[in-house]
Amino acid sequence: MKKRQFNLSNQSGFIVADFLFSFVLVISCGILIFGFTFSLATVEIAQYIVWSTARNFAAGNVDEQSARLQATNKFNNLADMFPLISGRGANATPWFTMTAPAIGNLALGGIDSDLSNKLGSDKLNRDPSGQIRQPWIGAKSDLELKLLSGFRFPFLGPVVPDKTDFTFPIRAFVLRHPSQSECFNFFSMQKRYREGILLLNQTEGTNFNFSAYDPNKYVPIEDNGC
Amino acid sequence: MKDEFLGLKKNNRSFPNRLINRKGQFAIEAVLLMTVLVGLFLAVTNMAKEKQLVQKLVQKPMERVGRMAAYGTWNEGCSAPGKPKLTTGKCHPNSIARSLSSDPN
Repeated sequence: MKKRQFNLSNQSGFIVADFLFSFVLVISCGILIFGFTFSLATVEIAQYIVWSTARNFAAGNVDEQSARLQATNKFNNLADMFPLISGRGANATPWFTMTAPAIGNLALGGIDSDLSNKLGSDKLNRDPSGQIRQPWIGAKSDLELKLLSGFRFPFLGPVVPDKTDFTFPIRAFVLRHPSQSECFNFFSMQKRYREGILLLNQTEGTNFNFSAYDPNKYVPIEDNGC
Repeated sequence: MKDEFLGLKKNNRSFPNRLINRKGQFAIEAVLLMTVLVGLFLAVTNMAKEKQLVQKLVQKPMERVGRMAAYGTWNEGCSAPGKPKLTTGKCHPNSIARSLSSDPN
């Protein structure tokens, strides 16, 4: 009976082990880089969605509520177009999720408690002379990077120990234009005449006494319409 | 036949030299090498885990991007020379005091 010979000079199987090792290494690095770059690109798209929402809120409308409704519609339309990012729709495979937007003055009214807390006492964003600078009007949505926070490498552990670290707000601030109702209100008898023109002789030091005239004769006229 | 003179020829059948057979040496060396390499691998991965190398590689840049998207600033706080450090919320460019061109002072 012939004995089976063990030939040490045969190294044909070595390439398989080498290939498997390098394959696992390259694929692991590839997955990490893919998750990282995809998340960065997603932040940019999410920023566009939120900014577009803020822009829709900023445009003049019938009133503030109409502008908010318009902005919400814009957010929903864009979010539905990116189910992978927003995690919305029946066929969504949420690698990322975006929460429903908060729209308005984010520093006030408990709309965005995170920003409100971080601003401290200066909610109105006043400059050193006390003048209000651009208030915090815009939109906000929380983006969760589920793809990246879900990564877990053997022997090295999860990419992020606390998954909430990869959930952060995306904000966009665009100052809102006056609405039609605010325009009407601005030119109304009460605002324009009683709280404006009528007080001129007191505030500006004029000697002309408007209060001596019948206020009902005041006719609001403005140039471009509301 | 046992008393046959073999001359200079070695009688391998009668006194087999087992050291010539080195078939087991490869297995022993492979086990030793594997032990050393696996130990080295575990030591390196443990060190990487303790120092959170992967976490720092990914988490730090993402946190900075998150801060920029949320508060308009890369860093945790901000300060101008000679002025106190501001909170993250006040580092947003919207908080910068601007001057009107009609009233630059």
